[in-house]
Amino acid sequence: MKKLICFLAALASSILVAFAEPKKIVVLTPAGSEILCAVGAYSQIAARTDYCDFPKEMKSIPSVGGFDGKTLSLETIVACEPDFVYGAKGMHDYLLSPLKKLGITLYLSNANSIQAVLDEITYIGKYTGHEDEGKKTAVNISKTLDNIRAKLKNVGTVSVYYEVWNAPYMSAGKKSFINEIISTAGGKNIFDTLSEEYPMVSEETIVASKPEVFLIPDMENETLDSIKKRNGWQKIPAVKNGRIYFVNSDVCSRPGPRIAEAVLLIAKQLHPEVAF
Amino acid sequence: MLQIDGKNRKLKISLSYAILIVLLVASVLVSLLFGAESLSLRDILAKDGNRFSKIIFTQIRLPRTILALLTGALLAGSGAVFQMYFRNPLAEPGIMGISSGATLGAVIVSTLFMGTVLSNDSTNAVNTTVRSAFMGTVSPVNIGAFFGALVAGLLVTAISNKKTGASATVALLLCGTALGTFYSSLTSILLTAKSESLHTMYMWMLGSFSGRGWDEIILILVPSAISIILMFISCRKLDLLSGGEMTALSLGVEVGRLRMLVIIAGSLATSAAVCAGGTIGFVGLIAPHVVRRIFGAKGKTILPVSMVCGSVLLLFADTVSRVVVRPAEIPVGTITALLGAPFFIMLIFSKRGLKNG
Repeated sequence: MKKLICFLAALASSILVAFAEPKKIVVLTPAGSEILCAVGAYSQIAARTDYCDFPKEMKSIPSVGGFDGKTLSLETIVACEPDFVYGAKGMHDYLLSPLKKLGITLYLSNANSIQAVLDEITYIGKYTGHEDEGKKTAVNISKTLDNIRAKLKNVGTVSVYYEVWNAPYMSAGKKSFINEIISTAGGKNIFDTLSEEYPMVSEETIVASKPEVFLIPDMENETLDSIKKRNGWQKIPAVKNGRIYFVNSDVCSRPGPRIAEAVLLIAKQLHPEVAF
Repeated sequence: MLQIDGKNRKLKISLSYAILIVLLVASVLVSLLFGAESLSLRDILAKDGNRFSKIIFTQIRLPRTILALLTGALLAGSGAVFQMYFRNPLAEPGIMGISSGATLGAVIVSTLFMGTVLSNDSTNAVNTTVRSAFMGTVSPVNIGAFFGALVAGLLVTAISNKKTGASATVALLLCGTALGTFYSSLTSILLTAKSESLHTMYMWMLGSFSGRGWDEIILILVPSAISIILMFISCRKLDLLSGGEMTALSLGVEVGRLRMLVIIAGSLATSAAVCAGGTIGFVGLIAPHVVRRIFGAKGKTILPVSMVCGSVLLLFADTVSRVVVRPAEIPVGTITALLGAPFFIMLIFSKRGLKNG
């Protein structure tokens, strides 16, 4: 991550006028737009995507298309005459060479851990000319997280099944962002041994692991009732004790400034006995 | 000389039947005995043993075995019927655009009716009604697939009625392929527009029995039974078709009626199979070929034996998909192709297989 930041920073300074902060930013990820707004760079954003919907004021900024790389319009991006495009690795890599030709800097976020998100916030703050706000935002998040960690210090972990999808069953593995959120919130993801980010998982193992809590992103239109009706699931502690929680998937899946909020949200559900 | 060959051949065929039955029993046993979790036989049989072992066996593994068995039979059966009717070795359940229709149905449900707004009461209301109408825990996506396949099948039947005569078969084949491409592009458009569901729907399309159980079995039981009966009714007449439509006509086969029968049986079977396991490829294509090479080309034989063959193939593939990377899983559709393709190619080049009868 750090290497990438250094490389991109070097690239940026060599292509652009050195150290001039970008005035027209096109942001392509929801997390990126949240980071920009958190560091106070809202007024520099020229365009966003349809999915960049938080904070609310983002919605008044014109959009260049959908989230996935292929649904974006390069023409619309370029028409905004941006000096900085903020995307995500794996999603927007294909923009690298066309934008480079036009002399536009592209930053590809690869934040897949809490520390990487904090680093990114600090870096983006500095890069957009809001160094202090960036640092402050990152420090505040760290403090909140430290607070939560301190309160969970003498509390045991709760086993968690996080359901990404149910046909087929898919969960989150070791490398996923949500896995770290769950473990920071005092939980143990039952599939944290799998290396894939979002693997297809065995229903037998879900039942046999006897998870104490289910976390289900609200994107999946499951209801408490429909989960209780699943054959063979009734004896799982989480189902038996009604500990099935629907989490806001925007808050919990975006590697942005709301990660502390996400950890707190989940920690409260995993450990109702602790006063946060 | 001919007599000796005939005797030899008969012996070979009965031996092949015996092997097939052994394989079927073995595949069912393997499917029941192996899974992500190792369950002890004592726990499963005990009246009050380890409850979780028993639950896993009766509520997850057993229904999955039944589903794989049934789906394999349906896919292979419809493949066999289509191949016989079209007299085309490439025919398979997907050829009439039915599988693509199923995928489109699933994608429509997942992108337009699901995962948008939880707070929206009307969406929830619709969701609940859909659920209560079809009882249990059958995923709306799978129901969408079922109806997608059914509608695609009906559409193709309607088209087949428009044309009569010798050119009808070819026209149907071409229309089916064109419609399939049409559905696929609609699917792509929906998925690019709603790219959040791209990953999950991609996994769905690869085919899997994950998340399916007794409710799916109940849902597909009636359509499966009807389609199997229709397939058996049609297969006797399909034998007469092997000499060409003209010959069949002169033998008194009502080709137009037979066509309807084949399409309805095939689409029902494919709809049920897709609801149970997503779009699983290859089984419907290779099972009838394997049977034809080994047991000869009589419709009476091809249909039932293909069905058994399809079940065996899918049962083994599903067991592999559950076991190799446990506790993760691999979509079973990738396994059927991975295991099936080399075997298929080997079979085509082997001289030991019997010539078409």
